[in-house]
Amino acid sequence: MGKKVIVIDDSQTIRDQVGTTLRQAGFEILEAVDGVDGADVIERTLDASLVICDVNMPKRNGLELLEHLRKDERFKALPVVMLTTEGQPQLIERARKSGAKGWLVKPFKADLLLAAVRKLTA
Amino acid sequence: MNTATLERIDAVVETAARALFAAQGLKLGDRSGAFDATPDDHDVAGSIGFTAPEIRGAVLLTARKDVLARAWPAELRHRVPSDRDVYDWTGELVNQLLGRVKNALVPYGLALEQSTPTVVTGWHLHRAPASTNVARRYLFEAAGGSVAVYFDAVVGEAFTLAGTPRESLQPVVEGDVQLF
Repeated sequence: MGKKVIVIDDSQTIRDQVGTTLRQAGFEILEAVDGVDGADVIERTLDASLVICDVNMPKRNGLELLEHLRKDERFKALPVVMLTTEGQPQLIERARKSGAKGWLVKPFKADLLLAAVRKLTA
Repeated sequence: MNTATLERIDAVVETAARALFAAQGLKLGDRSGAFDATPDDHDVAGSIGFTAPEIRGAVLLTARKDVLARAWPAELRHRVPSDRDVYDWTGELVNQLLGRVKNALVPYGLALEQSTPTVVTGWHLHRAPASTNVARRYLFEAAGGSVAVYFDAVVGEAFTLAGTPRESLQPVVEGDVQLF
């Protein structure tokens, strides 16, 4: 089995897009539809290698989920990359300070996404 | 809102719409002049709200389903999108459209917060007359049909955009990757 990547986005299309790109490269994909569901999937997947997370989502947004994960010893070292339409420097800085490992602005380029995922899961 | 600010918003929204669809392989054609009603054949609409001090409103995107299906992501073109796929994609398209508008306005000192998108489908969808004090409409030819974009906002008297973009506020651009 490939390394596990958890994709959290409220759009099925984006989850399919990211999932298709990464499955073709040998990764195993788990999906969640919002920040609350994402926390549940992460809790159940203690051997995940990476989380790719949207920012603007219902119930709990991606930055809130990131900050929640960083308070939990089990997930402090779990790499999280934000995949979002947001490009504001203040939000990117907030994510960086909260321990995110990267920031990708939609629409993503498949080759750049894959390169980033490979680097962060190496 | 003064004329220069309206012209700035028009330019930002039109550029954002063209870039959004170009990124998915769908070229938007000529922009029609003023139009009063949504074209009769539009059967799907996505809307997303935004707010900031002195401005609040929504962006609305309407089209025919088959037109938006032409902008289906390249990675997923091994299958034909179902209606349900197109509805989800419409929400994501309007989300990305507002994202581009937001990112383009950041250097002018405007940081918009946004909602999550809502999608509506039906026959002969028409936009009701707006009650906002800013109501901009953009209609583009596309793939044998059309795409309509609406930017509606309630704007306070104190609302303003910076006259020139500030370099220190430049956002990360679409498609870019930053690793920390």
